[in-house]
Amino acid sequence: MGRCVNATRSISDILDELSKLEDDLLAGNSAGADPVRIREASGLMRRARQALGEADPLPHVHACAESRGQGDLQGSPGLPAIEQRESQETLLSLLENSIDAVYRRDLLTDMYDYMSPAFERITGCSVTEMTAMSLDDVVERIHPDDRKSVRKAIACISNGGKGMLEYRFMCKDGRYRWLADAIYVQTDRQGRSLCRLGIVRDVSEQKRREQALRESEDRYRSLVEMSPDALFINLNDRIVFVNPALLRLFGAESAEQIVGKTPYDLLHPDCHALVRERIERLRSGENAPLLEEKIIRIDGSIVDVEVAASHFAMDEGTAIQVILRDITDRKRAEEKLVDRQRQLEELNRTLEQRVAEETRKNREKDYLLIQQSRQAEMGEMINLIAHQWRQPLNVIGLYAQVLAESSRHGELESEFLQSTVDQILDILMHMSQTIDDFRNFLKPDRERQQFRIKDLIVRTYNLISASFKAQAIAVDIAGDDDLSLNGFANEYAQVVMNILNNAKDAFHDRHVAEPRIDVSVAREGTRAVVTISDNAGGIAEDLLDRIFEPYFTTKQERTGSGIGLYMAKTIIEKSMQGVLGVRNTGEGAEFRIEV
Amino acid sequence: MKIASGGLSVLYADDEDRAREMMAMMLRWNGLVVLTAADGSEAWDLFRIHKPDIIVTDIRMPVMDGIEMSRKVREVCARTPIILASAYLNEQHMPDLAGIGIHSYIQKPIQLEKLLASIEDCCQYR
Repeated sequence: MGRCVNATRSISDILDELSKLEDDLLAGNSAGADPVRIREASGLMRRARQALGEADPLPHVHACAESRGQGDLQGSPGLPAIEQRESQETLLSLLENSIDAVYRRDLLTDMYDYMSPAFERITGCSVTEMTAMSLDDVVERIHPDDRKSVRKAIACISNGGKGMLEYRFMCKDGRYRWLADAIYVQTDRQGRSLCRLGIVRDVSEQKRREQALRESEDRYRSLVEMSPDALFINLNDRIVFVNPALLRLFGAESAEQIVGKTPYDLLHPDCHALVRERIERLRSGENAPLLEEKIIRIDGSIVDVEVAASHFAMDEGTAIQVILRDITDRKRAEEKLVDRQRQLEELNRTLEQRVAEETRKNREKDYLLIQQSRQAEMGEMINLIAHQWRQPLNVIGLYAQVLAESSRHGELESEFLQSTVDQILDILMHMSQTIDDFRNFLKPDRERQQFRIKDLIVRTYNLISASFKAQAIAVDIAGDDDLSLNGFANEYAQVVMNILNNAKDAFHDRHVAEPRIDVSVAREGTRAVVTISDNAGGIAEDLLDRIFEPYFTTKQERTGSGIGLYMAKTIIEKSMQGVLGVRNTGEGAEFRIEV
Repeated sequence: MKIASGGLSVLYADDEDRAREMMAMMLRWNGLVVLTAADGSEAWDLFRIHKPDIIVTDIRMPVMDGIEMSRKVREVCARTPIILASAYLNEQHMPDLAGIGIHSYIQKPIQLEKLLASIEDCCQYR
């Protein structure tokens, strides 16, 4: 229970002072006063009026105020004493049961002369303990951080007036509670301060909520400020807030360039209808799904964005929070992917046709190259034919001269004549065969055919044997007579001839004393392997990898085209799906044709 | 054409049998004494035994070629005229021939007239 010092008089005074406080608060004279506090103060008054059962309390309050100067409610005219007592009892009951604490401190004695029991509930200190406190004792219980402002506020109104204080007050259990204190200093007609009246409410919970809200706001703000996604808030079709990411997205230097615009100013006209519909839906409380839109940057360029939007209530209306994400890269990747997909489908669709076409083209290209390289060897061919023919031509020439000489010397008999002519014809037949062999060799391979490898090598060598004999090169061809291949016979022969001719040139360039070439034909598993080895000294190790490159030649004197071995490799590896390799044996080079 | 002095001996070396036989036959019809060899080694042996007046030799032959045989001949005899007969004579032979002292060179197919003229020419230097 509250401790009452001259309770009836005090309560009458309190009522009077509260009325004044209310007048001021209602008149808006309390600059900086918390509206909540004002409402609470006026609420207290309202409750007080209701308790008094008055329809219009103000005349009564004013009447009380007028009687205040006399300092005695008893002297108040026109109110029956019984009625006034009842009102005072009601008010006392109201003060005693209010959730807010009320106090009055007599400034002349610097003592509390009234303190409502709510103090005990709020602070844990009994009314007796509270009223015994000096001002310093009270200030001692105020949080050190708040003392200065409390002192200052009290000093400000020490000569009359009102103020609002908020401070932490140490309760009996040692814990601080936030208290809101609406104070008023009453003065007499001469302006002397009489007492300080206060209404105190525990606002710890509110403070806690405010703090939590502030923290939540801070979190939200930092989230928005740091977000890599652009964000703006649309309120009544005006942009009222943007984050730094949005400035970056739009290429704006400051928020002023965007804030105040309508959302439609930022969006590509193509999106306007859709966006309008989305905004309507959001305002009616529906959700807006993720959507791709186009924005127009400050510099006029257009960027693809993905947009998410949600709504929330503000005092001024429904606000729409819009998050935009630049999806240019993703779009580009998607477009590339679609393009690739399309290409792939197209490729798949035409794959068979393309493979056939490419194969045909490659074959044609190889064929042309092979033809070219074969033509390039024509010059050498003519040399070879000359070699092949010199000896038989010499013999035919001698036969002709023998006939003439024998006739001149009377030695020409018909039998001798016939045998000589037969011999000449025989040689001519042989020469004709040589021509056929060369022509066959030069004939392009249009079709694959079955051929016996060793036989082909012997026939190939025979074409060029004269020049090998002329250089006294011993050539031995040995191995499996029956081993055969299905493929392009003349191309295979070209490879063999190229390798043999290279060896012959190496012998010549290096003046090898006893030149020798060994050709072996053998079966290795399912492969037909031909090795052609010479004793010309071999190939420099660093050149081994390069001799199959096009236009690479080591030949001196003669101008090598540099294409022979490249073509040989092409023929064996591309046309015949085999392997052509080379190694040094120590004595010379060994080529290995594996098909 | 006739060779002036009868009994002039010629060593004829060629590895092609028919050509060798026919040439020998025609040279004999023209009054020459002919020795034949199928390679350089055989020719070298015949030269050492018979000391022929003139040597006619092919270049490319097995066992020992005409150039090597000529070089051996020159080692023992500076004067015997040597006539080279070949289908192939090009720069590559020139270093080998230098210093041997070859009288003349006959291109194959051999024309008998030219060979006889060359032999006759040799006689003037004997």
